[in-house]
Amino acid sequence: MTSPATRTGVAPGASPGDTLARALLDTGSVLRAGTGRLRVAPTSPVSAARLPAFQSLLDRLSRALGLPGPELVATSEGLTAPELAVGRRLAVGNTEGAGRPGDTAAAGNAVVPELDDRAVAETAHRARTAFPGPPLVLTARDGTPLRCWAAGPPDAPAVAVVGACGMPVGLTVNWLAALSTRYRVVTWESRGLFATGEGAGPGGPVDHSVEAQSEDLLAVLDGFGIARAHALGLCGGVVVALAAAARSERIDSLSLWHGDWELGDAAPKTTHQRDMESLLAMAARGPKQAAGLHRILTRPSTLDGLRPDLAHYLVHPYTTAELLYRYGQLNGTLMTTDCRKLLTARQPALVVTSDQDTTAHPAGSVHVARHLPAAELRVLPTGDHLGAFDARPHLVTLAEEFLRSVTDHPRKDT
Amino acid sequence: MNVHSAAGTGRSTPAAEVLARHPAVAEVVIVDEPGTPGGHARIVPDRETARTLSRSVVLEAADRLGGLAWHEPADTIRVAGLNRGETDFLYREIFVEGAYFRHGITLPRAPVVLDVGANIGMFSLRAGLAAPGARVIAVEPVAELAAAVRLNAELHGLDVTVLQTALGRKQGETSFTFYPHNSVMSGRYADAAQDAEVLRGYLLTGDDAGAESAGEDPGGDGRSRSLDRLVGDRLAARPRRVPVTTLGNVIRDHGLTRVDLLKIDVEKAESEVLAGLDEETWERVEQVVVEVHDIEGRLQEVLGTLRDRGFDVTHDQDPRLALTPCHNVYARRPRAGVGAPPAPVFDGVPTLRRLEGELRELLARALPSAPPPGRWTAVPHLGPAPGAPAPATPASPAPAAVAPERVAVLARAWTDLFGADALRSGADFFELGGDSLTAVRLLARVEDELGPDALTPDLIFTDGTFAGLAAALGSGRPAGEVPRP
Repeated sequence: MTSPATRTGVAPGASPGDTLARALLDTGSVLRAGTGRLRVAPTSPVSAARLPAFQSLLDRLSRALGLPGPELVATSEGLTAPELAVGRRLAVGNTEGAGRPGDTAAAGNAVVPELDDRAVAETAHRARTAFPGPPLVLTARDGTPLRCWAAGPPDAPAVAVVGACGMPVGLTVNWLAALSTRYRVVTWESRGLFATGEGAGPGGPVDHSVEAQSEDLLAVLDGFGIARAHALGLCGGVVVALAAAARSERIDSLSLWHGDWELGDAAPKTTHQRDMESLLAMAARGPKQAAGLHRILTRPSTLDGLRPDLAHYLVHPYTTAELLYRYGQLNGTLMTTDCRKLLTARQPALVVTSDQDTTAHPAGSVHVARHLPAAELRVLPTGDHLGAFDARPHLVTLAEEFLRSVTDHPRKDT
Repeated sequence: MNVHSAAGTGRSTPAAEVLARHPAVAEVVIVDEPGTPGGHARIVPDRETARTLSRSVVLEAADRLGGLAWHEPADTIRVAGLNRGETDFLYREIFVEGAYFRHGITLPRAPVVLDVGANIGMFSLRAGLAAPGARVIAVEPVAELAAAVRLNAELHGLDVTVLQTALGRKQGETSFTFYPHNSVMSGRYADAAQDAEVLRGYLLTGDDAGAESAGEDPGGDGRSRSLDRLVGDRLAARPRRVPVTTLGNVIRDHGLTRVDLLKIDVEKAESEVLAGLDEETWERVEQVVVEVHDIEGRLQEVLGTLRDRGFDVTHDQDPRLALTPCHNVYARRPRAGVGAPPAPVFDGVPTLRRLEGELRELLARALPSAPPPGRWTAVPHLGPAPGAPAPATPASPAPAAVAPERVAVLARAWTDLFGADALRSGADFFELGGDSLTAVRLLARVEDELGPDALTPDLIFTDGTFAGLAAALGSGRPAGEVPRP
């Protein structure tokens, strides 16, 4: 599972109130995805008599966090995959803390943390200000609002982390935490897939072209006053990072981790990649098709194949039919853009993959590294696709060694 | 396990009830057939206990067999092959005699194996069945044979990537001679006279001599003529053009950081194949086994190349190939572990042949006086027997109004996902274990062949039965208009 100091973001010894508040924030993108109220079930038995007290606590904490609170229901029967994933992360009824399997209360006797109004406000404040902190909403060049984050010393060399399309910031938070001790790290969530205002829902339709998505990287740099940066792309984020590098010298180096590449007949794809491509193409065809697929994809069995500690992030773009439709357009574009035309970017690049990546075929990365003018390839003997997001020490060391070799100059503000 | 009477044409007899007791039998019917004493036993193999047999009938029902046929070279293994004699030869060479696993050649856990000149994939199967988690890249330029490798990998549930290409010193295209009746000798450097001599040598030494050429006039002119005819028949050539890539490219393009075993059997192109490795990719190769045609000193050349690259090498010759120039070379890096030949695990048993034997025994013990069926076949479901009058209840899941070719597309996708047992009108997508991924695959497969929106996702919810989906295919109606059950 994830380490307490980073992805779950709760220090050892934190109170159950803190744990629940952090879990609510961690699932915030899913809670705000649609206009309806998300239903969640306790993960340990909670007697009917105690449900209202838990509901009240959820409501008060959610309000203080600016989130639509979930509706607590007695059993998980009839819940969708996103609802189950959020419920498991919130882990209502567990005595010790959210998302920690095995910490179950005696049947039905789960204790409701008691918090007065002031304690609720303080708990919410601690959660909102914990790493990586609340987002700053910046505006893309075409006016699309983007949820952005920055961490690390403002004068340090800058690194823009480009996560997988449609994934909440929580999935990349380990990279942000690891690199922000030495670098100015910025990131953002994909355009048009996250609620950026006070209300819920992802706002109006957006331009889903690769150009628009890669322009967002430059807009984020502008917003934080950064002249030049290293772009660290993960999974589908590699396409955005490479496209930005091909169009702007402000990206002065690149690292491309476990990339999901479309390279025509130059490199094979995994079954998973082909399945995803089919799925996204179907979803992008129209809201009606997306609605049909949404019913299928939100079946509880969808969670069977997802890593339990990441499931509440991974389900985000499937939470509503509208999100799925847009995800089909945005990620479908990234997955079908022939990246061979982008392999002209002359910036120094590190390409990393692993023989054990059964999600994004390693051959794609191998081809990219061979054809980029200034790339070095690292094929790691171990490490699956999602593992790249964990930012384990050996990966961070690899990234930092490369960063040291290419970012020995201090950042110059624009 | 169920016993069926096929709408008056079959016999729901005590005999069928006995057969249904066998754990590898999911369903069985004995159909009366003129001229077949004891009737025709039509068996639906159990998906778990007769996994390979079950998969094979599903693949066949989905028209995947093409010009291939099912061969059972032993009662532990069923494969798709081109010529039965060749399948038997390859099985004996690779499984029984362990041609490639000699002199300490072995496989680590979850190995990466390159099978160059895969033919029907017998060596890919040998490696895959012996080493769980094996990743096999099989290279075979002949389309018919590459199809067999794919089918055999699917049949046995192995991770085999099939590359339909030849290998050589550099990328390009080459002429290639395919011998359909003697596919193991197909190659880039086919030479009618030379190949005839090699085949003649083999036939004079090998078991085939007894099976096919002897008998008429053993040892005399008759035999010689017969042998010439046999060689001529077997070497009827079909020339074609095939793409060529290099071994180095294959290793790089597939991101192989190591190749635990490189097996090469490419009929005189072996030096060319090895020349396609560069400094970097040679280093990734741990063990090499190669059949070398010792023409113009090629054996010494290959041995020299391997020694220069730091391998410990040795070689031998199959006694049955003593009259041919074919030798096997075995090369290991000193750092590679020496081991026993890895033992293949046949867990998809029984074959049809073995099942028939066991069912005959079962019947003889339980009903000694009953005549055993005269014909035994494995089928994906108990539809009507060929030639039998149509039963009262339509056995075909397709509604009459729907174009059969459209339903066939759905049936292929459906059986690929769920197996033969599932090809029933009332079989429900979700009850069969279908999930979101399966749904997307089903929709994508059908769309690939029938165009966008041939099936809308909602249909799977409104009527996820095979018949429901088939009906919607035919009508092309939007989801909302599909009649609910």
